[in-house]
Amino acid sequence: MSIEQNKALARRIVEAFNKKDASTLADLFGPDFVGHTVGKDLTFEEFQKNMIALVHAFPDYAMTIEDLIAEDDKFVARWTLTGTHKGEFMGIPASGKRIDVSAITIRRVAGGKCVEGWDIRDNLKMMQQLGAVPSGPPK
Amino acid sequence: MSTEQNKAGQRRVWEEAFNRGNLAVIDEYFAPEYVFRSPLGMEAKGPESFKQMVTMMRTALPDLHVTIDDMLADGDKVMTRFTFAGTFKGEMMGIAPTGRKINVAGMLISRWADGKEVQAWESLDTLAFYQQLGIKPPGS
Repeated sequence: MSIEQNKALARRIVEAFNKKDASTLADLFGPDFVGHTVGKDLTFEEFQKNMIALVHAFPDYAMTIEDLIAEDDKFVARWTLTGTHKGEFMGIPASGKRIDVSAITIRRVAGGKCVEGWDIRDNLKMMQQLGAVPSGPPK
Repeated sequence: MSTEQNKAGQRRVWEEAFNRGNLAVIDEYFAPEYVFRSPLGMEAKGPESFKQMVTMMRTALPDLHVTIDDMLADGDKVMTRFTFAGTFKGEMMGIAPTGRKINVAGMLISRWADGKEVQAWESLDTLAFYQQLGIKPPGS
């Protein structure tokens, strides 16, 4: 796979995610995919469950790629996620509030599919936007 | 400048400025128009304000160590995946130290022009950062 093909894969994933096209998404990830998220390694099934939870909580979500870079067998996407909180999310009941958070994702590609990933999202900002973390200066 | 030269510059910024406190490296590698907005709410405009940010972190966490876990470059950009570790022993943003150790994952994308870093975007596990420090997160 060339760097341009890996970048095209990144765009296809975001497009499938925004269209809620689970079968295309499943096809773009290898069966042995491992996702390294904050403090935990996830299998593709667990990763999928997280995506479904996100879709349920923010039915109008949209993922936008702000920057896309690639080298060797990896691509890096800097992206934003927007949406309206209409379903329970991480124990927080629907609030109707809008989220607008940024994240960076790295994917390692083999055989045209994502086989390993690293994700960091600004979880604090997301929780604050949902009204779940006390904001204001620390005492 | 090549992607390899940009990577080498970025590596020196992490190792010299963050890990050794050698702030002269910031004069060497940062453009006057450098801009960075940290997910922790701080903003750096120019090399001097970035030096203040590094000094603040190294005062709060005197044993601060950034480990480079991965690095890749493409065009004028360099991405670093890193682990930010240290012990909260000095005052930070008016907050008394808790003595807690932190170990937080982050990613930084920097943009380079003529061998100088001009802009950066960071994603950090901000929730874990404050939880591990043992303090209440400030407003963003």
